[in-house]
Amino acid sequence: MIWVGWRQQRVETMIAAAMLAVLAAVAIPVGIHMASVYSHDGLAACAGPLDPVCGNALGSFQFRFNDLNILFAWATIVPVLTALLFAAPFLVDLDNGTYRLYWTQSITRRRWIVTKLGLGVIASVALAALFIVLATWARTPLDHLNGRMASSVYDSEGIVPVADALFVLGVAVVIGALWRRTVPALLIAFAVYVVGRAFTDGWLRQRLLSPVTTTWLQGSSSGPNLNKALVINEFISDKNGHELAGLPNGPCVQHAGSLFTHTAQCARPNPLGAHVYTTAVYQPAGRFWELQGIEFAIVAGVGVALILFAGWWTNRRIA
Amino acid sequence: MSETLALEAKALGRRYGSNWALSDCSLEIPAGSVTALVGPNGAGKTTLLQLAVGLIQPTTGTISVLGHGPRAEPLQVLPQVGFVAQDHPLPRRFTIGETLTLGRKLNPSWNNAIAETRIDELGLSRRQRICTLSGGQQAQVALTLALAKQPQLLLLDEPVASLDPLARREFLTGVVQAVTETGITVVLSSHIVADLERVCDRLIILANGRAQLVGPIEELLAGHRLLTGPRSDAASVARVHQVIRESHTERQTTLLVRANGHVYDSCWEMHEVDLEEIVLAYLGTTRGAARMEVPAGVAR
Repeated sequence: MIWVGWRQQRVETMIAAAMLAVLAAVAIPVGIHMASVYSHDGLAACAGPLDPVCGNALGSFQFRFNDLNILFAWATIVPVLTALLFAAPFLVDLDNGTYRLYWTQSITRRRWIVTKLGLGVIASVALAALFIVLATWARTPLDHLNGRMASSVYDSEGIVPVADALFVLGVAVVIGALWRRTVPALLIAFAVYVVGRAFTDGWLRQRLLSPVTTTWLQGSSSGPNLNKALVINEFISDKNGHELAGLPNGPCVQHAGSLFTHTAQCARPNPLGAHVYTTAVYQPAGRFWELQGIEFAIVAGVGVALILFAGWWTNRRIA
Repeated sequence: MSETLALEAKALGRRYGSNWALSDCSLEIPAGSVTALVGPNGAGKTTLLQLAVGLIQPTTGTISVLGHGPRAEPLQVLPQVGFVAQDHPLPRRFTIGETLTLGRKLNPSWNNAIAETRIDELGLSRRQRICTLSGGQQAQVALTLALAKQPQLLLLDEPVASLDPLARREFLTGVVQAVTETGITVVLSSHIVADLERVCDRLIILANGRAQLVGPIEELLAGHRLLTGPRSDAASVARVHQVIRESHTERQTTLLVRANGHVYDSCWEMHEVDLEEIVLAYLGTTRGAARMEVPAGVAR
């Protein structure tokens, strides 16, 4: 059955490999070039608190290689699309009735299900892993400067892309098992992924661990370095961290992943005089792996549960 | 019960939603027979065959294939049963050679020589892709896959329905050839009666989810007669013989009867009937109106 399953997945594997190869063909030369510029200009020393001396070099470097950031932010979709591709062989057999051929050979239905879903899982995970390696390697200098908490980076590094792949594979095979229509199942699974992704990026992630809240005197240098942190909220407050209403707090808010520093405009004198504080609620950059682990457990857990349900349903309920 | 049974259904029923595709269906198919399963669309033919191969589970009753329950003991049943589903599904992207490899990988009893010989005889090349084959060729490849497994029982679900007359003939010739070479038991469903007489020796008429008539075709032909006589006295015939269908014109009555011995009354003119007329008569009685009860002794 493994031979059959592999043969049925061959085209999908080649398409997936081609997608990754195209991405690599773009990212590897840019990555090498960026790494050499980074070391040539000695920018490694600039990482950390802002240094006015190399600020210009840093700004131009960020500006110059921002496209790579954007590329990988979009390419986060690659392991998702390949997982959908690897769901297809399972769906196609249920859709066009060829399952009736396989289930009437001398093997059990359970063996067919385990092989088909197993190969889909292995291929999806392997491709997501390769994608992570490529993204992480190519973006090393940028990550060093900006951290990895911004969702455009967070979603394509660490281990979360593997979880996303398992999740979208699970949704696709469940819909396919229940409905037995390939194309609608894949489209719906993709839509579910987009919604789920917006949910984890915008709501779930910042709540996975209770965030750190820090209050510091505005304009002083005692504040935390939020450049690499996932900032959930930042506002003007009194000394105890209570928000002061009616003050413009817009300029101070820095969204994670932005390439612009947040301190310049906050340093403005404010109308209330000296005793005004800033309070930030954030996930520190050091929690990257902890957050990734929790998010992986949740998302991959849901994905694996869906895959198991699809297998169970196919075994017990179909026909 | 000296003869062994290839398939035995007892009070078999299968429901889809609120609709019974098969209900209280009991029948036996002896080993070594070639049985035609005939009935209108929706009569339960596909349901019966899919139950036999374990693709679906009975709602009520039991089915036993070569002495085993297909769903309870799939590894006892599946290697011994060759099944060609309706529209003969095959992996469209595979070549013929890969399709044979599939059969070899998934069936321990696979006989590659049988498969290769049949592919050669069909004039097909191993490099041809399934999706480039005609419907008749695909049906033949599906049959090859089922036969190379060396099954004891071959189940064919509407194998010729989608084929043109020539391909239909070629396919059935392949079945006949397998029967004469190996003595395999065959159950073949169809709603085209004409082809079956040449191939099959037993008939099951399935309608309204039940077996309406079961028996060797020769006996059925010998047992049924068409009576033509004056339009008067159908009732007296019905006392002795089972009237399957009656039709009247202005002056005469025509009866298709299952005869209990001879028809002595000289006012009836008696004709032999062919299989198609018998089938149509039984299907005609079950169509539309209230369900006809299966006469005692007919279904067994």
